Amino acid sequence: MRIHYICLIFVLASKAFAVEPSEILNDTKLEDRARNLSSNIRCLVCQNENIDSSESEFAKDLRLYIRDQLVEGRTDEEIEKFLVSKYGSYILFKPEFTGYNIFLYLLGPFIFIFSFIMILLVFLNPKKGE
Amino acid sequence: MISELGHFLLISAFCLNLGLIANNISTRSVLAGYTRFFNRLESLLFILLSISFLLLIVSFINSDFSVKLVANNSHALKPILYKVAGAWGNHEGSMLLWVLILSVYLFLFQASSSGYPKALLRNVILIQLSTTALFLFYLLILSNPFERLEIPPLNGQDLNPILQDVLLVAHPPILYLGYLGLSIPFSIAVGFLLTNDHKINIVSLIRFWSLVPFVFLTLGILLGSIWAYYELGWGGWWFWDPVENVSLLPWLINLALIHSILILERRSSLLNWTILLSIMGFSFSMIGTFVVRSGLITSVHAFANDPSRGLFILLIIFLAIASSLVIYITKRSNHKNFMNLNFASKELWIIVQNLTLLVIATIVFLGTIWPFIIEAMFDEQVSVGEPFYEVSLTPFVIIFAFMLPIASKIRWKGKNFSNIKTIIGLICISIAFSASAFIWKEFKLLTFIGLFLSSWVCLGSILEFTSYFKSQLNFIDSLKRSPILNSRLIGRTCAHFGFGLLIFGVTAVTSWEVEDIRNVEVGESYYLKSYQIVFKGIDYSVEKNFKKVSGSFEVLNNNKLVGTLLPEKRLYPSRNEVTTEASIKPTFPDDLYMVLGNKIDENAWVVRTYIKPFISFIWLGVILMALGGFISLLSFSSYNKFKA
Repeated sequence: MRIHYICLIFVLASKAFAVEPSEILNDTKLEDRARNLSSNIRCLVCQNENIDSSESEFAKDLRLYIRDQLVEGRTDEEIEKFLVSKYGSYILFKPEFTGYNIFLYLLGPFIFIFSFIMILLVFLNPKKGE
Repeated sequence: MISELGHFLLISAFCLNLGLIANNISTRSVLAGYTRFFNRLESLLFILLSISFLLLIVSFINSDFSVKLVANNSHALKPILYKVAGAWGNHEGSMLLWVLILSVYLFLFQASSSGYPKALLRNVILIQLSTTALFLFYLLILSNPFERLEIPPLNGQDLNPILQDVLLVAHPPILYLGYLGLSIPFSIAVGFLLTNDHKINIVSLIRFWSLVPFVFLTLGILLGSIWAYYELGWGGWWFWDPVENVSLLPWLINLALIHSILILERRSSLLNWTILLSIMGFSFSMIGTFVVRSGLITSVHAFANDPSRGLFILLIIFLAIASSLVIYITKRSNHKNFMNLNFASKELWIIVQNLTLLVIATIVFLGTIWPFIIEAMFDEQVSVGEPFYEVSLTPFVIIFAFMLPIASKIRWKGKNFSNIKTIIGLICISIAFSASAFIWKEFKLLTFIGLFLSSWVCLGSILEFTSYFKSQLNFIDSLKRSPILNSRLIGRTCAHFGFGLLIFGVTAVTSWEVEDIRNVEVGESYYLKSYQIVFKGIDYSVEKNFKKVSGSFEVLNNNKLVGTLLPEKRLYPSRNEVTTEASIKPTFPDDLYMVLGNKIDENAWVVRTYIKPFISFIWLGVILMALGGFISLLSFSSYNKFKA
């Protein structure tokens, strides 16, 4: 709830506006990468927005930071790693494929493959007489 | 007085509800038949709740700020439509609507299903009454919509401005008609188990009552999505917000149910599975409500702020789900009816389709609750958002869509792929269609797959439709001969074709969207694809309950005027909130979408313009899906006529 209020204050105090023209890089390839990265990064002071669409100052700072780093030649992974080390894994919308998150990624495919095999076993060769 | 009367009616409805339950349980041994007298009393429940809800609306229209709910959610200057909608744009009011719709469905169910065994009907009604009683109890104890304030304020606090919208007036009631429509298959399933007679044929009962919520849920989700598209100003139409996810879950389960019931109908198999899906559908509806209302998540939908309420709702839901599952486990049918299936049989493909839907639902559900699980277990915070769902769901959606035309083309109890030539032919045509798009566009694998699937699903459904009539001697003759089969066939074709269009729209928008952000001065013009956009001017004005700035932009295509875009920013002084109103010009096939940003100086503004190709196909596809469900429903009325 606290985060919610902080966000409200930000929205009212600063009328910043999503991605602004002054932020956009001239190099379209880098800009595309910046947009792509931004869509995975959560605005920590907002409800459920990525920094690309958020209007907060926090998001603006991160957008500028990402672009600075891209211009300096950092890779996407390096930038994400740095952000995670600074703000925690909460900042990424797509959890890293490590630790307990592996369960999150693999449960669906596991259920699918397991049940698929079970279905074939049960229905393709039912025991005679049943 | 009005609100006291409303409260009194609520209490009476609750007493009546308890009485009906007691009557339902006690009379089963004494009275053989279910008398008409008690039938009337159950419609009285619906009448009491409707009047109570109408009285709440009247309080909103009168702007009676001595009622706490009105004071918190309305404003004297608000347009009348939004005053009315204020009645359900908040927690207490929407819970009253929830209970009301439960009783509406009870009423409709009773009125329409007289031909079934009395024992079954009585049990179904008992379950529906008990669910209604649980939520009515909650409403009276913890969220009374008619609560008074000792000192009424001069004016209300107003409804959240982004909710003041025509679509959002209709969105909650329609979505609720969907959510709560699922209560009937749930009650049928549990009532059926309680009856302990597995010989009763409940196929058409469940089929009918699962198609009704399908239509409403689909439309309700669609309205929410269109609203998000033009109101939130980000140009997206699905955000994987937890609240969106929980509305998707019952929809997915219901979709699985609608298809599994076909196997029950044809092969009298998968009875337990169908029952379980019926129970799960409404369970997910209730879980959805809990997530929305508990305050666990913050979003525009989260209006409950009192944690004790969340706990109580959790308790109700736990009670309902747990008891129905216990009944399922103890009373389910032990009769084993294994089908002997072949790879070429429709049954097998529908079962795998069911599995795919359930896996998709599992991923969505797990993703939605994952942050809570991690926080509870490891005291860490993680986020799960759009990029996660894109990565994990795409493969299963592809599998799902690929299976669809094959599953609908092959035969029940099929032994071999007799249609293999048609299927291969369709695949070739679809690949050609998909590849041809890259003459103009840059190649991307996912775009290719998406286009292929959309053409494959659309063509497949059309072909199935035409091949059915080819086998008949005469189109009109066959229509007359089997009205049931035809309305089902038309409904199915329509829904499947709509799904194909949906895939096409999603693929086109995500692959070929154009975005432009720039500073524009009044009088300046710029080009986007083939469109020329001219900034004509800016206008300030004061409306009834807000102030606004609106820009005026002319759009030209090949020097011909296509239309004018009027994006707005609004300030609602009653809440001190600023909202952006995107301006959208649908020029088939593209949507032009414009948002007004910040003022740079007297003459210059930041402007965001999007070109969204084929986004209308998304809406159209979903509408066709709902329409398909509706047409299938017609088969029931023609069935009755047919019998007569």
